[in-house]
Amino acid sequence: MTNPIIQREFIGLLRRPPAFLLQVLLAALLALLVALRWPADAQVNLSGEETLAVFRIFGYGLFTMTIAFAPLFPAVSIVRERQAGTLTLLLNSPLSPLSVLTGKLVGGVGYTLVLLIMSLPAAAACWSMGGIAFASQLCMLYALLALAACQYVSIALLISTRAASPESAIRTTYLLIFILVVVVLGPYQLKGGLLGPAWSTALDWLRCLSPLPALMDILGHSGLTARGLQSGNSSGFRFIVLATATILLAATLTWRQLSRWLLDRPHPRSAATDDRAAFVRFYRRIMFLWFFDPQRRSRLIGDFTNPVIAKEFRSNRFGRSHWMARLVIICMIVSLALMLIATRSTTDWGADALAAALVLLQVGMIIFVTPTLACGIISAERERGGWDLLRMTPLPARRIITGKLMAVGTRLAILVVATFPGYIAMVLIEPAQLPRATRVAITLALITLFAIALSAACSSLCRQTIRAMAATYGLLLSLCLGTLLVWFAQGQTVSPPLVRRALMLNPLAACFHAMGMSAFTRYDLLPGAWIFLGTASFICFVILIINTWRLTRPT
Amino acid sequence: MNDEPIVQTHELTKRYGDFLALNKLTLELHRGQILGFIGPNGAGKTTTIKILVGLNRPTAGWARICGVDCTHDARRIKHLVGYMPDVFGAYDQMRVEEYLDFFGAAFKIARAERRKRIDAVLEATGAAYMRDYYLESLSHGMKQRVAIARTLMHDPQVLILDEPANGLDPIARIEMRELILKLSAAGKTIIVTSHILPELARICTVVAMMTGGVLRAFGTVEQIMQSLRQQRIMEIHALRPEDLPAVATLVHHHFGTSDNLTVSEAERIVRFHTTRDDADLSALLRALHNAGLAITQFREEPQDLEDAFITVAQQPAAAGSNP
Repeated sequence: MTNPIIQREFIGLLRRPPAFLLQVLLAALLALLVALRWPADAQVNLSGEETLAVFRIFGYGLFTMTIAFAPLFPAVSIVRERQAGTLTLLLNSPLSPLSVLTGKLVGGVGYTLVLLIMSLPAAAACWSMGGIAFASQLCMLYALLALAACQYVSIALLISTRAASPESAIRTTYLLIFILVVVVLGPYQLKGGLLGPAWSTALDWLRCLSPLPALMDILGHSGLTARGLQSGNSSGFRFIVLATATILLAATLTWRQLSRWLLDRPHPRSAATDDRAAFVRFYRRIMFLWFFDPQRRSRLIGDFTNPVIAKEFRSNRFGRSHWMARLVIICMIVSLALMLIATRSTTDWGADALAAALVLLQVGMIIFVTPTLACGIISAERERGGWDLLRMTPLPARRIITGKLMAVGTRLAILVVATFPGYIAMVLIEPAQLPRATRVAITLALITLFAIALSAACSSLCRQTIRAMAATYGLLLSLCLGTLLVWFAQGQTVSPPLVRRALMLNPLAACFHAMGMSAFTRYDLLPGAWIFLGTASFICFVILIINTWRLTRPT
Repeated sequence: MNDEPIVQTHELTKRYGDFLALNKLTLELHRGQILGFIGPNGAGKTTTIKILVGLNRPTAGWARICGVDCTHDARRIKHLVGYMPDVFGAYDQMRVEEYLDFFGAAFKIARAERRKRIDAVLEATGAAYMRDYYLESLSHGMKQRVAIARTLMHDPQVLILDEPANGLDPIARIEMRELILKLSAAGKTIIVTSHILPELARICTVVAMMTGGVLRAFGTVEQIMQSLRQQRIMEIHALRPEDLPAVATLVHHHFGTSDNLTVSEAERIVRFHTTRDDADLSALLRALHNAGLAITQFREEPQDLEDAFITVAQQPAAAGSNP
């Protein structure tokens, strides 16, 4: 390898124990899947249904793995180099920005490809059972996953050049990927018969930014995200075109950032509204309703307030009033819009689909936002040297942790409650829906509690926030998407009791069940899921308490 | 100056497994004194500091600040000590005033009093103009000032500053020196670690030199220089270059060693290290004069704290002991 960046990024990554562990886990899981489904009596089901069921688990599993791991390391790659000062050294070396970009791109994609290659023996076993086309299914699946990996890595690198911190890079990258995979499907699904053919085609193209329609075509689930004749088998081709365009665009922007502006960043403005001219002061107070002015000078912390709560709100962008206001308003608008669509019946969506959209919005938000707020409560302090400063204050460990948890909990509670207007509208229109709304509210509260507890426990166990975040997201995604794979395989491959047990661990499924979605009400998930969430939260809190005690006592 | 020691350690020892980080450190510090902690990396300075501020527990011995045990009464110690570690400990998105407000509130300073304290510490550290600055926008020198302001928020009796002058430009370093002297004059007892030894020599009333976890020298700068006088560097300036070999021979003959004896023809100097006292040196001077050599200068090269530290650091560990 002539490019030293590839050597460092790719080979260096392979040498890391977590990367090795992930490979071992993947190989073991795939071997287990094949071993469980391999025909014991030397007979193959010629219809191929059984094989297809396994192939679907296999395909969706690999796709989940690609989403989860492909962007993880590239997302922090450049921002960490910038923070450590090594990016300056790289850009001052004879290596061109293009070499740096190529190295990081190849390094990032390379690891995902290694994971995909490791799944080939299992794929071959799957294919040899019969019922799967070699070129149009097996090869296409791998081509699609490789292209998706390239797309996510290039996006992650672009975000990494612009982010202020590794945590922010991860947060933005996964948000963007969530939009690219899930949200882009929404407009096409919601359009109904309201739009003309040109708009309809445009939305169909937009839908194909997500690899899901193409993946579903390959796995024989094509009906689920398509509507009408116009979205036939062209989704694969459209994804290839759009993904290639995305990769090229992201790579070009990253290259431009590396070439010119990356190290030239302005400092945040230090102006305070209180010191500005009377007219400006008056104008800003009116326009920002005084409380939401980002340049407002904060009041001193109250004598009876836990100072850690105030500190947590002030030192986090999403804790600042103007950011909270923006998030709350977005949540309220989306929640109300979904319910408005349901009540006006302007689309041919069923109640299930709308319920799914609302639950996805809420659970997705909790799972996405919580780790970004809670994973740094201890690890970020330790990384930045703030932990020793906190230990040097008379604040007891209990007060420090309570303050941090309350700050996270309050922000999340505000966001979750902001999505409730939809439920309120639902209950006002149909009061009989109150028990359903209550069940959903309890489930959401427990999911929030669990996500906070898990993030905080990981934060107390890891020295680096980035690791705590990776561990938390990994665990949450495994619970939400991993167990959903078992649900996909229900029927021929997995028995209903096993599906029920797996779904009981899934917060998303518990919420779908509480919402009364027909696909999930056939399994009795409540209160089992509540007990699981409560117990898991309790265990995580115990881990947090023990670790905090260990970290605050003199060594 | 009050005779009651403010900082006291007695046979303070810290062991990490087989590694001895600190070995029987005993020292005392009085009100208003500035102690310069000198030592290479791994000398035990930070370990000592962390025990003093209650973050680490000693394996043996004890440490007290204002009579309060640093290990068993860590809660009271926090009120008595202001600790500035070598890492700033910044929080993103926070303004300087909010940062100080948080630490003031953490020390339970009432809101009305806190406002005055923030103004006072910002004024004392010359950081008043940074009040509305975001922490991430501060330069290194600005951060150092804010860090000192933070340690002063609860008006501690003892300040422990880990490398306060590190990374500062010459002007900022002078300002930092003046600030420390001002705080000392205000009655604060200060412990400062630094690798910039001339800087310490200018401000410290006492100096502690450590290597390998052992206190090798302790006292005022003058006392330390006196105690290290056994190894003096002498210079003999000759009028004529041709006299230099004769001077060197005579020195060698007189002291019986040629170790560390150098002849610089360009400077017309013979330079040598010796542990002999003034009487022996006087005898040598007389011998040079009697030999008819034209000597223009016979003098001891002045040593500074840096030389003293190098001398101490080069001595074998067994030779060092606590005073």
